[in-house]
Order: sequence, then structure tokens, then C-alpha cells
Amino acid sequence: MKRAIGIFGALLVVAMGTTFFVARVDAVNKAYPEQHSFIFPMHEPMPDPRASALDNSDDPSSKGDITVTVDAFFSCDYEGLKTIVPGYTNALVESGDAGELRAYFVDVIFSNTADQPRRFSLDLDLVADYWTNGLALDLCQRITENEGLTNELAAGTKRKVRLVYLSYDIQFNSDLEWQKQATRDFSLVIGAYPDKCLTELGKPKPYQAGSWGDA
Amino acid sequence: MRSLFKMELKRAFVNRMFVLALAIGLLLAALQVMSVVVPFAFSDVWAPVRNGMKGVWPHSFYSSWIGVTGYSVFSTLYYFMLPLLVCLPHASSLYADLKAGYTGNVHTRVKASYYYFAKMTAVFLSAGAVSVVPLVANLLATMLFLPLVLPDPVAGIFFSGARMWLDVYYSSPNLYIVLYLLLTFFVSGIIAWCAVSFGFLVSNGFMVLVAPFVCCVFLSFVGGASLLTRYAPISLLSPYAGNATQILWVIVFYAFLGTLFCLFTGWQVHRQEAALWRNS
Repeated sequence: MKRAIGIFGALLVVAMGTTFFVARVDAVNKAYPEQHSFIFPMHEPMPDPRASALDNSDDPSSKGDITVTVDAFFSCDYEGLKTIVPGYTNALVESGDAGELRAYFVDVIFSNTADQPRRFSLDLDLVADYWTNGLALDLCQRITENEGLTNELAAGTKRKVRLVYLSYDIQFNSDLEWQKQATRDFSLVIGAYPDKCLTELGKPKPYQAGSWGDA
Repeated sequence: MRSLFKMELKRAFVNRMFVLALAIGLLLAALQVMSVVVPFAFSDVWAPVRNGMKGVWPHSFYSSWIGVTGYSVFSTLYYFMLPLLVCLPHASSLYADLKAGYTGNVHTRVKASYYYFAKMTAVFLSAGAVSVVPLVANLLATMLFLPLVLPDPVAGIFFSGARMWLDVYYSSPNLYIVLYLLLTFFVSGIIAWCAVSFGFLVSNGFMVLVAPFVCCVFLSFVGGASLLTRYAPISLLSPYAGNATQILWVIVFYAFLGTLFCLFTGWQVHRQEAALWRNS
């Protein structure tokens, strides 16, 4: 009898503990906003959910005033990059720390759809599965002669920018993963928790020269 | 055979050293929760991040458990002390049995191989339990305070770069945790087998316990830039260390070590048994 009571008591404690645990985990998760991903194809404007954060007004109505439209997606290897940007050397590759690099170029058009000037940021992320890298600002500026990471755009105007991203073999766990990187589908992502807007880029084409500036 | 196996398991799991090792592990796991997870969940400093201000990702369960917070002294301490903790419960018991003449008594009743098999299994399981239970407790406690926000490469709070199983971390983060728990269990068992083997090489119980720890520290720090450093448990078992190792080579490396320790211990036990029969 005593043993049965003991087993029953233990089961009761386990059941109560499990109930508390599940309820608590559920409450914690409900306290945070639900995440959303908005997916756009190339050549279609994607709203920048960070726009309201950039103008420092915290005005949610300004969210989406800046739109980003991806026009083209290219890539090239280190030798190709050196011909595109004369005089460019990459410290990681030259020192031998990295064996290879691949440069990715994304032509995007920033548009201000508001009737007031808005600031926009070039700081978009290029993503391929689990790999991501931030903008190579120095290269971006050398190619496009753009003024900085965040820029102002007059009301109703557009600006075309060529964004540059670098990917190194040392960012991958094996040569196989590095080779796979060339065949992955890429996307250009603007993350502003809890929302995420992304344009599906697919696989990069070989590098082509282009024009940029006011579009 | 069955009763011997049961007895060895009882000796491994019901002893003061097992409780002490588990208590130290649980204490470090709890301190990590108190110093990292609880502030993320309740501190005013992190309130803007919790509210998603300016689009910043909040701290997630997947970026805050003990295995991924290398910036926490308790995470570092836990993985640093692991080779020592896993040896505490039962790894020096064969050495103690030999010293006390207990093995001689057992050999007269059962085959040496039975005793040896039961001993190695109990050592392996107790070491694995001591290493994994604090991690599981930490995972459950972290889940009570932080949301299960899935890893996203653009969030900036999750891993990136060359790491083992990084693709799994982003595609199935729960599987990633389970894989690391299994790896920790497996490697901890082999570390404890190392201590068993040292029982035949050194003549001091304390040295038996400390020897695997010294080997691991040697592998981690003295190994320097050599490839062997990647296989040191201190960096291999901690996901935050960013170990760019191939799992296949990890399995080959530790399977080789495990076989080596088992063969050496088996050979020594066989020698002891033969000597016993010669003397009788």
C-alpha cells in the first residue's frame, strides 16, 4: 500500500511539474510577437521594414516608404574582382588565411515612395541557406562611389546601387560545402524583427558591368 | 553476469562522487542561467531588445543555453572541467578494486571478461550521465525564460562561420542540440575509460582521476595550432568554440581511442587474472 502511494505521489509530482513547464514555456513564447517572412521575386519592389527605425521618428506609418527592387545578381572570383576593381587586394587571400573568395554583386534600386525625404540603408544581408555576410562597404563604395552606409533620398526619387558581398572558403566547414555554395539559391534579406522581407535571387550570373546612381 | 552488471551500475550511480560530480555540473548550469538567461529575460538593460525595438532580434533559447554562451564564465568553466567531472563517479574504481584486492575475489567467482565488461559499461554510462544531465537541466531552465525563436542567419545573435553541423543548427536546431548531447555523452564515456587505463600506469588514486583532465588540457592548449587541438574535448564538445571539424574524423578519432583504452585495460585485467591463477 505504502509503495502504491509513493508511486502515485511521484506520478502526481511529475504531472504537476510537466503541466507547469508546458504552461510556462507557452506563456514565454506568447509574450513575443509572431514572426513573419514576406517573399518577393526579382524586379518586384520589397518594402524596407527598417525605414521607420532609420528616420528616428518611431512612426510606424513610415514603414515601407523605402522600397528595394532587385534588378540583377552576379558573381565572380578573386581574379575577376581584381579586374573589376583595379588595384584591389584582399588581405585574407593575399596572406593565405583564406584560399579563395567569391564576390557577389546585387543591383538594387532604392525608391522613396513618401512625399518627404527618407533615409535608406545599404546594409542588406545576402543569404544562402545558413551562410550570410554583410555588405563589403569599401568595395561597394569603390564601385558605385556611393556616399555611405545610410543615405538620404528625396521624396519620390530612386537610386540604383550595386551592393557587393564577399564569401570566403574559410567560412565553410569543408571544401565540399564551399563548392556547394556556388550552386545554392541566394536571397537578399532585410531583417527587422519580427518581420523579414526577402527577394529570391536564385543562382548568380557571371559578372556584367552596369550603371548606377540616380535611376 | 547480470547481477555483476547490476552491482557495477549501482556502484557507479549510487555513490558520493557521482552526487558530487552531478552537483558541481548542475551548480555551473544553474549559475549560467542566473547570470545570462535570467538577465536576458528580466533585466531592464535588455528590455529594448526583448520588445524588438529597432528590429533587433531578442535573445533566444537557441542562442542562450550553456553550450552556446562562450562569453559566460560558467559555460567555459563547465566545458573546461568536464574531463575532470566525468571521471569522478566511477573511473577510478578499477584502480581502487585492484588496490583493495577486490578484483581477485571477483575473478574467483566470475570470468574476468564479465567483470571487465560490466566495469567499463558502468564507467561509460556514469560519465555520460554526469556530462549530459546538467546540460539537459540547463536547456529546460533556459526554455522557462526565453522564447524558442528559431536561428536565422540575419539575426546577428546566432552562430556563423565554419563550424561542425552549422547547416543542422539553422535547419533543425533541436536536432543540433540532441547531436551535441550525444557527442558529449560518447566522448565523456571515452574520457572516463582513459582514467581506467591510467589506473594501471600510475600508483596514485588522485592521479588516475586527474590524468585525463591533464591530457585534455595538453591537447587543447599545448597542441597549439595543430589539427589535434580540434579534437580536444574542451573545444570539441562546446558548440560555442566554433570547431571546424568533420564529424566522421571525430568518430574515427574517439573510436580509435576507445578501442585503445579497452584493449589496454582488457590486456591488463587478463594479466592480473593469469597472475592470480598462477599464484593460486
